[in-house]
Amino acid sequence: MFSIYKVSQRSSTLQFLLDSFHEAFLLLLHLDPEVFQIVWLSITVSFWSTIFSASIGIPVGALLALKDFRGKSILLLLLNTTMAAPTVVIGLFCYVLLSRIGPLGSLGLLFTPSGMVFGLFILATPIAANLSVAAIESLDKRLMLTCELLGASPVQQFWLVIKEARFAVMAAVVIAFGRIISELGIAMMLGGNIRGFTRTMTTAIALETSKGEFELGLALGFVLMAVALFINGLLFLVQKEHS
Amino acid sequence: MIASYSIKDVAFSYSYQPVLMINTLDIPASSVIALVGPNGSGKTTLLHLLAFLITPQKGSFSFFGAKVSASELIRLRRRVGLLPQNPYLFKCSVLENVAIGLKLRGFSRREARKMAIEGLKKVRMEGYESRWPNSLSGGEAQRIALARTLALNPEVFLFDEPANHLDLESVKRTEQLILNLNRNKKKTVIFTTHNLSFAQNLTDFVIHIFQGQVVPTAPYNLFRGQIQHGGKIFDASAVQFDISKTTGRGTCLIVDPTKISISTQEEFANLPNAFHGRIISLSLLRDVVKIEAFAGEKFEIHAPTSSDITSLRIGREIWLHIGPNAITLV
Repeated sequence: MFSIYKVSQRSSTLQFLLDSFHEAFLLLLHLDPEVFQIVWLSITVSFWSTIFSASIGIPVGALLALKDFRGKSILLLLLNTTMAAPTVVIGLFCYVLLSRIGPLGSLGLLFTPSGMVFGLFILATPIAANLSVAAIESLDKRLMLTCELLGASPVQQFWLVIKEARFAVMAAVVIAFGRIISELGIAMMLGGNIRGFTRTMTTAIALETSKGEFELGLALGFVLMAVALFINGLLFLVQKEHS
Repeated sequence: MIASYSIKDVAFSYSYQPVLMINTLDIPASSVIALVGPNGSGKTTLLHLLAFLITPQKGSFSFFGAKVSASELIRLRRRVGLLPQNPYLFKCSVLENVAIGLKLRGFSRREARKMAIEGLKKVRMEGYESRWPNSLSGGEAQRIALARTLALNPEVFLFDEPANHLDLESVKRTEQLILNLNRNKKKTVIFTTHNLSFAQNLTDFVIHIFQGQVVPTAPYNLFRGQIQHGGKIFDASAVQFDISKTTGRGTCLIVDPTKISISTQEEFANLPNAFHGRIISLSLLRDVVKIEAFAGEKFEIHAPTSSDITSLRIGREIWLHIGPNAITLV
């Protein structure tokens, strides 16, 4: 009796999963407006967060790699610590900054896509900076001398160095994008998971799963996996080109 | 004659370790100069100083009559072209590599490409424009770097060991290139080398560098030692002499290879600083015979080809005499 119950339970679980997959495919196939809106918002927020974090992180990384100054080691230690910090802590920190009583409260960014971009930018900038430091420090030691002897100005030297490290720096940007698009804690805390406004793929998956409604969650999971595959493919191509 | 470089009492140190101490050095414009010296003597550091990659910590340094100031280094660097011993090529096409210095100087993309193609023609590397550095051999990469320096058409060319690791034909081509730059374009060319015959074939004069200093003779026959007997005698194991005959005091002694008297007879046996040894190698330079002899220490001797050298053979016994005028303290 017990084993019959177990078999029937297993078959109903399998059926449920198959149904969920089927429904998820239908949602994707019919370009469900809600799925489309969530995916679009996730990609847009991730795109802008990556652009801002790369714009700050890469030059900061290059400066840290190229210049010697007092307190450089402490700054590198801080950057490494930020990279390893739990995302909920970063989310909490940004929440305090953006909340009505916080120093940036007047901007009204909390529970908006821009607020999410801000938090994700804080998350990804140390990643972009640290990976850029590693990329530039691994460059040939003769590069700086060559830039100097060719008469490059400090700004020209800076750009030549970033250009030489472009493959590794591109990999850093791709890694930062991957980290941002898969982020849940910050998106949830700063976006608030508002339907049709700040709901991203990760926050939607978390919500739908908690409600026991797997179809939408699975559909978004497939998209997220496809994005992860695309990012890794891009990284692979960049590394292949570099080698 | 205008001096391209004028250096007086210049010193440069790395981490408090002095690497360059030059009392006076004037390099005439449109001349070909070789910097000769052993490894670690400061040749490359001097070349970097002349390329404005480093600035002296003290002393006076002028370029074509104008005092070199730290605020003008970039502008000055664009007036000279340095080809390092082991040049770096950027991760882009050969044409882009040659054009890069021109673009940094503000030439348009089109002009820079045109001048880069001319540079490649000068080193016979036409057809390599779209190749990438990782597909080039070491010699090809060296020629691309040379094309990059030539394309800049600077007032002064600085070459670090241009004849290093080159076959005979390439050495001849490099010699021809240096002569063309100087004779046809009136450029100042300064290069470092270990190869004295390469230097003598090309230059107006040779500057000998030893322990960061310009020394009057070739820095061969170097003996380190310490001053003994109340400061009268410099004892460097092999050679002894009265230091009161010199104005400088140091811990190193150089014996001018052109001022060593040699004999296959015992005629110097009773003289001070006379050595009995054996010839270990003989080679003919442009107008001298280089003799290496072992007499407790290894000596290098340069005898004029006009002297009686027919009796010299490898392995033959030899008597050397070092007169006081052959010795310099540094």
